[in-house]
Amino acid sequence: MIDIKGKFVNIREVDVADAEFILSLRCDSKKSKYLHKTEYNLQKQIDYIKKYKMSDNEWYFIIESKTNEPIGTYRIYDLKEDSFCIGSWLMKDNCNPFEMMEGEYLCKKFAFEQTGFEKFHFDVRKENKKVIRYHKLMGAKIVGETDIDYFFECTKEDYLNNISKFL
Amino acid sequence: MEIKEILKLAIDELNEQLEDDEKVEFSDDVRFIGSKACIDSITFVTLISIIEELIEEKYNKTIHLVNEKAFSQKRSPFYSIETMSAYIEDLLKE
Repeated sequence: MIDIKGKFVNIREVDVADAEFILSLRCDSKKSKYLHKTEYNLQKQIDYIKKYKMSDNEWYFIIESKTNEPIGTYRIYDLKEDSFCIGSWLMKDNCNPFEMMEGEYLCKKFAFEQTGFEKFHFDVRKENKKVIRYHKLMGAKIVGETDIDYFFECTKEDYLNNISKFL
Repeated sequence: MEIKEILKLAIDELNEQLEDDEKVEFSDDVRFIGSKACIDSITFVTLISIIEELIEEKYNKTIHLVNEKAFSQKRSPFYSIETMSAYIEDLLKE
């Protein structure tokens, strides 16, 4: 069982009991503006989590406050030759910046240790300017684009150098 | 240049990057962290990085605003313009 303690947050693997919490984030109109649409269907979400639990090539995390309240989600998936993909990063409105940053940091740190990879990749909707700015601050570089998305890559070294200024 | 002026410049620069309904007012009543924060977590990180860049530019000094000292204080130094200004002045004296 994965259960990692940080200074501001803890992270653990998702469980079927988290289905409602996940839907509350994914179906929030503001937060889901740049995400694939998710139907508010509890059973479908439970089935998705059950399917995830059978897989062995991805990690789905729940970020919790130090009082064990779920405050966010994060997913590591699409393991390629030397890079993993990050996604499903959603945080509750009232989380503070250090919970947000450390939650993501702990998930990435876990993925770097588990995979031995030296980089990660992800895509962001071009309209999602705030998130693009954040990832650039953390060292990510644009490596491709479509009409609607930017494709990013970031090395472990660049990310760790930049996040260390904030945590 | 006074620290408050730098914070004003930083907020102006931040506002250039924000949507109209997200723009931050330069006022003592504005909160940057906590339940009454006027900016979200991601925007907070951007603001901190802009302030650090401006300090480096104006004072020729590199400082990291987020450090153990910031976390050890009873009230977050990032709470308001007043607390942030006092905190930065302290850091610059070190």
